Amino acid sequence: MDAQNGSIEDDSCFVTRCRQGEVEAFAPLVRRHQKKMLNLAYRMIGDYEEACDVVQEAFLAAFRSIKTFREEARFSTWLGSIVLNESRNHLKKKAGRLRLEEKSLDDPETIKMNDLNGFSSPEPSALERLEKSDRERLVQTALQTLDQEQREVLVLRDLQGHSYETIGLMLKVPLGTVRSRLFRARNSLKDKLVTLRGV
Amino acid sequence: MICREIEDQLPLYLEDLLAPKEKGLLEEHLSVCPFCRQRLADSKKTEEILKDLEEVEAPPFFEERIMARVREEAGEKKSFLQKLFFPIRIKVPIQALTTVLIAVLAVYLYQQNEPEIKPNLIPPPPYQEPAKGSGPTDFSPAPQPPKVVLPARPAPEKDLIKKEPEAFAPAPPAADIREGTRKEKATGPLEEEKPAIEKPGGPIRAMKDKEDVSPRLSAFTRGSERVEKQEAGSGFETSSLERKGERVLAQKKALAREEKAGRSSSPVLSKGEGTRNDRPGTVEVIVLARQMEQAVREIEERLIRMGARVIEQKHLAGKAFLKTEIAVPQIGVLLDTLEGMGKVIFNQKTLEGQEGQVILTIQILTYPNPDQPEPK
Repeated sequence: MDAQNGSIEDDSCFVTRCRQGEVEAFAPLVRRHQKKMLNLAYRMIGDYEEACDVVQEAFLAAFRSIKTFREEARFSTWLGSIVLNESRNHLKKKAGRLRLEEKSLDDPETIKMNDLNGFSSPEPSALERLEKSDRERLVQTALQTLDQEQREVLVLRDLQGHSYETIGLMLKVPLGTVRSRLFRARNSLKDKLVTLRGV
Repeated sequence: MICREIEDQLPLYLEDLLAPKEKGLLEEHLSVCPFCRQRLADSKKTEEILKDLEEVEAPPFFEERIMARVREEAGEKKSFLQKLFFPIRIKVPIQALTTVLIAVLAVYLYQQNEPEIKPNLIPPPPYQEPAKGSGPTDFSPAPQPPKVVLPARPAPEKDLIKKEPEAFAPAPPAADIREGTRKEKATGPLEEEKPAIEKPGGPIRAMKDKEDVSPRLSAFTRGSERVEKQEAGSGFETSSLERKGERVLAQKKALAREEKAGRSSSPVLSKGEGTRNDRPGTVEVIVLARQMEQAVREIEERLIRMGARVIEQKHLAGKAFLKTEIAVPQIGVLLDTLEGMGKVIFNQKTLEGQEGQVILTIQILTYPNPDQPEPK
């Protein structure tokens, strides 16, 4: 399933006008895809301000290369690829300075975990007992601990809702690779969550 | 099916994307493998956790910030000409310079093609020599370009009166002259002058001989007209010329009358004045008054009231002379006044043929005893 804002036909119309030199036709494209791109960049980078900067650069890059966009593809997919590239570049520049707000298990705020019995456990897990804001912060932190490839598939599939085919196009990998990466990524994230808070 | 093989299919199993046969095999494995069941559960849980994450919102004016940078990016791609003319700091000076150049060019072209405007001077009338032998008096100068010839004298009229009193003919009223002209019988020179008469002058006859009548010219003499037109600001001299011309005409009239009458116009007691053909008539009268001084004053006052002009006054031993310019019709009135002062001696014949103004010389003598016999 692909969650796309706006129809493909509308994107194509504005893209065509942009390719013809109409600068203001790019504004609707920005308006439609800015939130999704920002979330993609934020989940990849882990910092909101940095994600805003990355997305701006990504939109500029898209505008510069709008004439190279093949109109048979989806604009959102093409734009997502640009955002991922910008995010990678940004992370490289940070050179492994991922801000991990890990909390030790000895932190008083650490919630004692019940044994994880999988999804069939009737009792709410420790993660579920966290406040939502804390939970989201914990998940984001766990995402940042994953390697980039696993993080990308998780974000594109479980957060962005892209299909396996689209993810394959964006990451330029076969569908099998997308699936295996996704499975491993989810398990890795789970382990991280257990390590941080207990799931 | 081994656990390692399950890993690739579990995400599809969760999404129910496996074929029925593969799905059956997977479920059979899961029933006997708790590890795979755990991993399936973890995968499902994680998916749910991630999907439960809320999306972050874009900051305020995020779209505007992006578009501002996009427009800036687009502006850098303008063509050279667009860059040249769009910025106001370049466009305005260029436009101003172009305007100045166009204005300078327009002025230059106008000056090049502007027609030469020369003062449209009135061409002087063609100079014509006066007829030879015509000039009793040459009011007009010798044949020369039309320039002012008359000397610039402030009061030529007075000078003429003093130096040549008998020759001076004051400007008569135009009507008199015209009247005289009309009354004048046809003679050669006078006839020729008629059409030009209003203020005749010397050269009239000469000019008329040549039949050079310009429609623009009035009845004024050619010579005087020429001088009038050419003399700027010398109206006094022009008017004196006119009076001279009038005098000449009067003298000619007098000459013509003398010739006709065959007599001289000199009075009994004439002292020789007025005998010249070109001078106005002169008349003399003698008054024998008891009181000479008183008589002189009374005569002067009377002459002033009559509008006569006292030209000269002399006092000698026992005698007084008053010379006045008076109209002929007024002489009779004056004689009546003089008779009231004393004895008047006057030759009436001296008035015959006189017209217009005459020079009247009044000699006042003291006659102590009116009973004494009249001097002869």
